[in-house]
Amino acid sequence: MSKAVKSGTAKPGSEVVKQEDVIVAILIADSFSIRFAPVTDLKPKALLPLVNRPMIDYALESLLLSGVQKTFVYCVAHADQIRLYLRESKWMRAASPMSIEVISQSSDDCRSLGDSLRDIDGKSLIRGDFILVSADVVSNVQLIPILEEHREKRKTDKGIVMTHIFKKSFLGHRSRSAEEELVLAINPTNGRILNYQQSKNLKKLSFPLEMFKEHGLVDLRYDLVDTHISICSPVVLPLFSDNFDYQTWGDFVRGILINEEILNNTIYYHQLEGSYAAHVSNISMYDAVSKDIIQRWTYPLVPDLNRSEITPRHALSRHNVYKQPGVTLGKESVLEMDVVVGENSEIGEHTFVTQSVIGKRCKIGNYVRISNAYIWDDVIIEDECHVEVALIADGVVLKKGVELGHGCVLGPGVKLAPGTKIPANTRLMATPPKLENDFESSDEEEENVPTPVSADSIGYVYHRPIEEDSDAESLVDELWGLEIEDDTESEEGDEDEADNDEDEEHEEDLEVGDLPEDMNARSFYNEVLESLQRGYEEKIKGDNLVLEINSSKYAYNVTMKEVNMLVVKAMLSLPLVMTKKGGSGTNDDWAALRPILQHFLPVLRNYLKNNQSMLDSLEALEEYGVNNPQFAKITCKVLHYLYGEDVLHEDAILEWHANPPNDPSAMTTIRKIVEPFITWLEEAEEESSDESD
Amino acid sequence: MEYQAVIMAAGRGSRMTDLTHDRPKCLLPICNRPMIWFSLKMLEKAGFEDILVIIHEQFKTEIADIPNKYGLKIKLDITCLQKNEDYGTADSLRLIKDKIKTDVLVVSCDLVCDIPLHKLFDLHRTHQSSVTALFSQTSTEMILAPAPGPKTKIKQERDLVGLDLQTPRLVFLVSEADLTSENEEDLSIRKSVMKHFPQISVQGNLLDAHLYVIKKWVCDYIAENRSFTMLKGEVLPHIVRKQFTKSPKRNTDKDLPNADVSVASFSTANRDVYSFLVDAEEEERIRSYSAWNDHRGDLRGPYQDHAIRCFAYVAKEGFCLRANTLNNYCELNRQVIKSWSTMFPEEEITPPVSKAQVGADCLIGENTQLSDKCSIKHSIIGQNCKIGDKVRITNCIIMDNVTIMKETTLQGSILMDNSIVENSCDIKDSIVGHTVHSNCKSTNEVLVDADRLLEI
Repeated sequence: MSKAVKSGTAKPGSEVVKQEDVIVAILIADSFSIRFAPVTDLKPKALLPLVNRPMIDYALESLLLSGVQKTFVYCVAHADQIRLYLRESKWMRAASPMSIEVISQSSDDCRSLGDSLRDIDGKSLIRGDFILVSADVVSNVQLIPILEEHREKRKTDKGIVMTHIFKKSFLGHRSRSAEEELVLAINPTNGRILNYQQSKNLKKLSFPLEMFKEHGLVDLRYDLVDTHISICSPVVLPLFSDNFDYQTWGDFVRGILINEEILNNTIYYHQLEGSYAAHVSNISMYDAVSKDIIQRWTYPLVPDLNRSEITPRHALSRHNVYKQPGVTLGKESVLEMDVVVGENSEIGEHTFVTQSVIGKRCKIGNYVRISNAYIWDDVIIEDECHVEVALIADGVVLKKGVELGHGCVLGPGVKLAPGTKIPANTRLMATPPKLENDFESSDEEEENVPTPVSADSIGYVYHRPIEEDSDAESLVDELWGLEIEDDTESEEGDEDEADNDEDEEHEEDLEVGDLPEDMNARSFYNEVLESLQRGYEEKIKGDNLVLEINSSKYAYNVTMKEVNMLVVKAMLSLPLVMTKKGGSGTNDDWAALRPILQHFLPVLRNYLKNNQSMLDSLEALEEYGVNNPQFAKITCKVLHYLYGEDVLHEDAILEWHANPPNDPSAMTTIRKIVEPFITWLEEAEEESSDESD
Repeated sequence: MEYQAVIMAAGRGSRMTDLTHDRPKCLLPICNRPMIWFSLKMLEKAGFEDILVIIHEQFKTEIADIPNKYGLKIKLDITCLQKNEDYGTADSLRLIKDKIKTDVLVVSCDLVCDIPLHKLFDLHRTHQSSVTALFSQTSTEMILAPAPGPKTKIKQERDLVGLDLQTPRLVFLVSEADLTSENEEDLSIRKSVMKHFPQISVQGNLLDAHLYVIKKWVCDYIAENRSFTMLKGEVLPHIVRKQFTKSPKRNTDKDLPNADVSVASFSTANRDVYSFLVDAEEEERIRSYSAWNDHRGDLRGPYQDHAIRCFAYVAKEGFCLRANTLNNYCELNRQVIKSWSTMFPEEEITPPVSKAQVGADCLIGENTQLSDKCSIKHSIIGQNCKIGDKVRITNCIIMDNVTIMKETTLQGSILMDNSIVENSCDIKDSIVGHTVHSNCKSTNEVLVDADRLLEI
């Protein structure tokens, strides 16, 4: 390894090194989430201190330790700060065995992992296999052997695109993030990932039978934790570029698995044995990882072996108490266990600190109790404060007697007046909430004028903007600080429910999916309406529209009958939608509708192929007429036109007419109106003059 | 007596009707011995002396005679079904419920297996399992071996068996056929199950030997619940699912059935499965004093605090195959003769004394006359057969009292009792049950009695 390291360093000119030989990593210095808001409003997540060191240092350090020679740091939010930090850090020195190149996003709309990889692909920096990590990963994994393993697998499986690294972690372990809970189906013989599901909101997990048929042996794993480290083949970047809908790693995996048969791409998993890796995805994970660092699971990434030259080393004493130089401790104050105190911090008398991290230049008063808290730099905590399970950002001032509930997060610069009590799970920030947010323009409307939490305090309650894709991102992390007992209890309840539906299972195997079907149909209808409107306005070809409608059909999982009915209804309502006024009930309606129907004839012909589909469409026509009385008048014309164009066959129309309508009121309206047409049909052959145009 | 053994021998062999129209499945010969002999032998080996057998009435004498005829040191306790009664395995178990005094080993009569059963009993005993099932790893070639008769698409009846990776717990059991018949494309598993068993190995290539060790209380439960007809299809999946239900809080008055929890689909008169559960207080106490646990990662006690638990013994090696289809029946004949000497070292087969060319893996029954110039390969020939000159037999199963005249070629076929093949026939992959006249050529056909054909 040392040889390899040498070749990659300092003087690239002196030795000719093929790029493929250099071990390259891409570090994405953004997590594209607002889990840490409001503290990340001004500072990128990568630079947040994790046990008194910027988070990105851990990721870079672990890459360095595992022998990576070149790292591309890709920045999105607050790129300038990261750039500035790295320029000053040891990483950019000539002596650094790992060279670093900072890339900023080239366009402003980079909002996901997928976007950034597409951007990187555009820059064509990578030619060989590379390691993909995010800046919030802490690990002591030796990546080279896994990279070798990846290359070895490629000899037998040419389609390998990725080896993703997982850590085993049993249920209830603190390193499991409830948000990122996943179930993986793997082939135990070769380690291929066969199915991937985020199981957070699921009660039942379903796996395609096909998978079990194809692979005689499948392991379903619920005990794995995503480390957010993957070994990628160079083809990963173009794959992201080709598929614009790949936003997250999960999208990518699902996409690869779905297209497996076409593209023959495969993803493998690697389970860590004996090494540590974790991903600081939210605040409870921040808590868990900090504790792991303090308790030395991450060795050699521990505070007393801190290699950075800017900050002095921590001295380690018994019970995992780490102190940097210049820490003063008042008399009778106790640092119980798992405590880290930064440079020049002062702790007053009779103060009790346990399982906490205190940053640099903090001033803690007398009779203060701090447990399970993360206090960053320059924080002042005055006498008799109670801080339990909290995250306190830079420069916060807690005046005398402040009490924080469990799970509070105080943004930078918050000042709390004496005696303030903050309820549990509150997030405070120093500036009143604005409409604009760093990541997303929130949909919040301006309510009343925000008021600070108490008089003389600087601190406003932070409301998380409502996120649209609540699927991937949710508010589980609000649970930070809950006691373990609570957790098991809730699980217990969950079990109870499971039992209940177990018992019910015999009676009725009703699908849970029944309920939202209506919603699906509605969304589908809206989508079809939109497609048709655009299709008409832009004169899009029928075939393309059919394609579009079909894809909507699959997206919303509606039945063919619904498709037939809804497409017809959408067409009929198009004149109203486009002119935005009700029908006049005159021949003008027909004049408006006719060209539309004419344009969509190919679409109709595609859907109305057999008798059943025609009956569906007639049913739709009838329903539409009942609901829109002004339309009823032209029903006959529509029928006649569609018959004339051979979209609807005579048999279907007669069959429809022979059966009683679903809605009895249709008998008097629609059926009456079409009566002449029907009689004309029944008399057949001869042309009737009074109803045709 | 710790265990009782029951052989279910009243199966009709519905998947091999061509062979079973005039005799029960359990008496079809495998290597010239009735099928049931293999299960009896296995049980004798495992140390059983009394065996409960369930059969149809009309074959009683024939079956009662088997231990004598083949020198097995066992006593049969035969329970008969009426001639036309069709009982499922659970029904049969209910029928003999009064004879069941202890935990039961249920064996199907079509199993040929040399896996030592004590391993299964050990597993059952150590974990106080409710139901323990035997599975074996089979190669698909064995199941997909060609069979005589009309070519049909071989339906693979596979089960998806979910096993916990850490313990041999049976987490779920579904048959593929069930899922396909219900048009399901997915296998769904509740997350709470995954919480208990975070590592499930789903195996699709296991063969269910239909050999179960069942606790006494489960038998009582089956006896009570008349809606169960089959062990494999209904009882087992039911009990496996019941593992995850919560046991009702133990009442102080244990004898009162818990009225609050009813088993949904059964009639209300039925008691909950938990009310049958016999408390093993002593074991509970031992377990509470012990630090032993079968899993890690949560705060639950051993066996996830489940009172009902099912285990699976997966045999990695050893012979295990069921003659439940025509394919398997033929394959069994071939395989058993191949490994006869290792499976049944004490049961000697006398090599035929004849000038005929008899190749390896052949078995010739007593009093069978072979002419000099015939050649026999990979075939089994029953008793009292007559085989003429220049007959070539390859890969066939020929039962008793069969006459084959000269210059006939037989390949991959089954010749039933008393059938006659006349001169110069060429029969390939067929089933013969009557007289085949001279110069007949047939491939993939069923040549059985004409009057029987009319019946159909």
